[in-house]
Amino acid sequence: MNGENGKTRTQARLLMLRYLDGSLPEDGVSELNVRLKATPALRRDFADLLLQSVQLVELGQEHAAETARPALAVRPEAPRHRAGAGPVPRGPARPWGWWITGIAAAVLVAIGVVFNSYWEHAGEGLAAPTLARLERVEGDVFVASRTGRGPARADQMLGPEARLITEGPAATAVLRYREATRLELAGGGTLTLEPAAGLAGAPNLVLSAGLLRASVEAAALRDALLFRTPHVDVQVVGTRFTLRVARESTRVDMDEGEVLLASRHDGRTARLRAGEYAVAGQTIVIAARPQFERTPAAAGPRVRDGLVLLYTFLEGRGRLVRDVSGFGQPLNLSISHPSEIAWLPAGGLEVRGQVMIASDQAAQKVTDACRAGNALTIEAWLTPGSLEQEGPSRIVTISRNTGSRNVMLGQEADRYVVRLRTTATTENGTPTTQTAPGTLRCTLQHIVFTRDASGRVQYYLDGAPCAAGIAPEGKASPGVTANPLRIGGDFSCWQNDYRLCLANEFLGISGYRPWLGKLHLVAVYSRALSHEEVRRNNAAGLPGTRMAGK
Amino acid sequence: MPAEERDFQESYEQAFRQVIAHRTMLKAYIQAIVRDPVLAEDTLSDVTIEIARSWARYDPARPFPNWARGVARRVALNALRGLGKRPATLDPEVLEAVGSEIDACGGEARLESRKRLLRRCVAQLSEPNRRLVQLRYFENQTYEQIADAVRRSVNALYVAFNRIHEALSRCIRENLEST
Repeated sequence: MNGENGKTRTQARLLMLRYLDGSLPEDGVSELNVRLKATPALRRDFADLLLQSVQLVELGQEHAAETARPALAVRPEAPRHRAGAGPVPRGPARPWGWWITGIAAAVLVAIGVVFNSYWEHAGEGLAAPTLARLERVEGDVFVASRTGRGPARADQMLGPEARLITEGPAATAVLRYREATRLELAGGGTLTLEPAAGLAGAPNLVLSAGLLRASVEAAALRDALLFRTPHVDVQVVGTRFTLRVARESTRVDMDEGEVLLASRHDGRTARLRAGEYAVAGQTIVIAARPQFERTPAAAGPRVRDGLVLLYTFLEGRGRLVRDVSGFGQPLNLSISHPSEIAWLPAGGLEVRGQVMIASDQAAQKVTDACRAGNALTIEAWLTPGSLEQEGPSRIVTISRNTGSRNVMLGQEADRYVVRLRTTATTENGTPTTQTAPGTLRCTLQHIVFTRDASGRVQYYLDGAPCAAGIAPEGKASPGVTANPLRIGGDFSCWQNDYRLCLANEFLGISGYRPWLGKLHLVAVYSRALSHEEVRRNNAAGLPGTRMAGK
Repeated sequence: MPAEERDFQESYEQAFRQVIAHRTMLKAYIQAIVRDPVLAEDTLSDVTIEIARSWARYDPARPFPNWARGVARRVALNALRGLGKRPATLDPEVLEAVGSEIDACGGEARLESRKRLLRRCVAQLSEPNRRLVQLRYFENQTYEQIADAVRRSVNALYVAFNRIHEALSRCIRENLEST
C-alpha cells in the first residue's frame, strides 16, 4: 500500500476520525493532507469512512422517524443548532421554493423526530427503578406514564407503572423484563409494568389488550411471574407461551413448560402444558385443550398431482426429516445441529439457532421434474420467528452457495422473496421477486409461490393471491416484468448437482443465511398449482392436524 | 405560465434532479469540510439552492459531480465562516480526490443499496459496539460525552470506532460481493 503498512494505516485512520470529529490540531490536518495525497488506498479508506458516517446518521434519522412518527404534531420546534454545540436537536428546514416543498417537508419530519427522540432521552434517568429495557420497537409503539406519553425507542428503560402500547397491526415491541424474561407485544397491545409486583397476589405485568409472546427463563428467576389479563391470571415458572386478549376472552397457547391459570371470573384453575391451549372469559369455563387436534382427511385431501417433495415434520424426534412425497427416491434431510431445533409436540419443527437441514444428495429428482415442465410451485406452512431476518434468510433453497442456485424461497424482513434461476435471470436467480411489505408476519402462515411454463408468477398467502413485484436491488432483466409479474426464460440452466436446504444456505463467501421460526410443511410441485388447488391445500391445513379453536 | 418563467422552473428542476442523483456523495463531501452532520445537512440545502441558481453556468460537457463539488466547497466554507469558524480543512485537491473515490463507489441507487447493507452490518455488531454507534451517529454525541457515558478514555474510543468502521467496511464489501 505505497509504504503504508498496517500500523501506519491504523494511525492514518485515527487521524481521519479525529479530523472528522473536529479535534485534530492544525499540524495533524497537515499530516493527514500529506498522507492522503501520497496514498490512494488511504483516500479510499477516507471516502469509505465519510460514506459510513453520513449513512449512519441517516439510519439514525430513519430509525427515529420509524418510531416517533405520530407524536410530531405536538412537539415543539427545535432551535437551530450551531456546529459543535453538543447533542443536536435538529432545526427546521429553510424554505427553498415550491418545487422542493416535498423534500423540505420530509427533512422537517426527520428533523422533528430526531429532536423529539433527543427530547425524550433527556428526561431519562429521573425515573423510578428500572424494571425492563426495550430491545426493539417497530411501527407505532408508545410508552405512557403518569407524566405523559411519548414514542418508544430501542434501549429505553422502563420503570414501574410504565405502559407499553403498540398501535396498529404492524407495531411490535420487544421487551427484556428483569433480564430473565423476553416479551414481545403486538396486535394493538397494552402492557403495564405493575409497581406492586412481589406483594402477595399482585401481578408483575398486566396485559389489557393485544398479543403477548413470553419467554421466561426459569433458572434466572427468583420468583414465579404473574401475568394478569381482564379474564385470567397466569402464574409462570419458566416457560414459553402466547397470550391473546380479546374483548370477551383471553387465549393462552403453550409452546413449552407449564403454567397455572386462574379464572378471574369464577376462580376455576387449570394447569396448561406444552402443546395445549385454554380460553378464559366471563361465560367460558377454563379448561386445557390440545392446540392441534388430529382430524385425518377432515378438510379434504391435499393436491398430489405434480408433487415431487413433501416434508411434514411429523417425525417428532431425531435428526432426520423425511421426504414423504412418494415421488421417486425420497430426498431426506439431515439436521446438522439437533441442539438448535425443537420438535413440536403437535407436529412441526422449530428452528431456534443456526442449523443446516440439508439433503446429502443432489435434489436431482426435483431439478429434472421442474426442468421438464419449466414450472414449479413451492409451498410452506410456517411461523417466522422474527421480522428482523434478512439476507434474504433462506426458508427453502436448492443451491450451491449464496451466489449460485436453482431456486430459493426466503424472508427479507416482512416480505417473502423468491429467487428463481432461468435463462432470463442470473446464476443467483436475480432479479428477486417479492411480496408487498407486511405480508410476512410472525404468525402461522401458508405461503405458496407458483411459476408456470409461460413465466407467469403468482404468490398466495393463506389461500388467496397476494400482491408481489420485483425487488429494486440488482441488475434488471428484460425477461422479468412486474406487471404482470413474469419471470421469462426456461429452466434449462438448472444445475443437477445442487442440494436442498431448509432454514439456511450452503456456505458462500459472505457466510450463511440462517432462518429462525417454525416449519410445519414444505412441498414442491413440478408445475404451477392453480388458485383452486392452492385453496384446497390451504383448507387441508397442517399435515394430519388442524389448529384447534381457530 | 410565461416562457421565461417556465424555462427558469425547468432549469431548477434539472438542477434539482442532478443534486438528488448525487445527494449522498455531496453530503459526504460537505461533511469532509464542515465535520458536523447537522451543519452538513443544512449546507446541502444551501448547495442545492446555489446549484439551481448557477445552473445556467454549468457546462453539460463537464462531469456534474466535479462541478457540484466546486460549488459545495464554496458554500461549505461560507457556512463555516458564517458561524465564525475557520478550522483547518483538507486541501482542495485532496478533497477532490476523495470526492472521486466516492464517485467510484457508484451512483445514488448503489449507495442506497450500500446503506441497506450497512443497516444489516450494524445489526451484526456486538451489543457494546452497537451502543457506541448509536451514541455517536444516532444521538450525535461527542467523543467526550460518550467517554463519560461508557467510562472509557477518548483515545480508547477512537481505537474502538476505528475497529467498528473497519468491521462495517468488511461486512459491506463481503455482502456486495455476494448477496
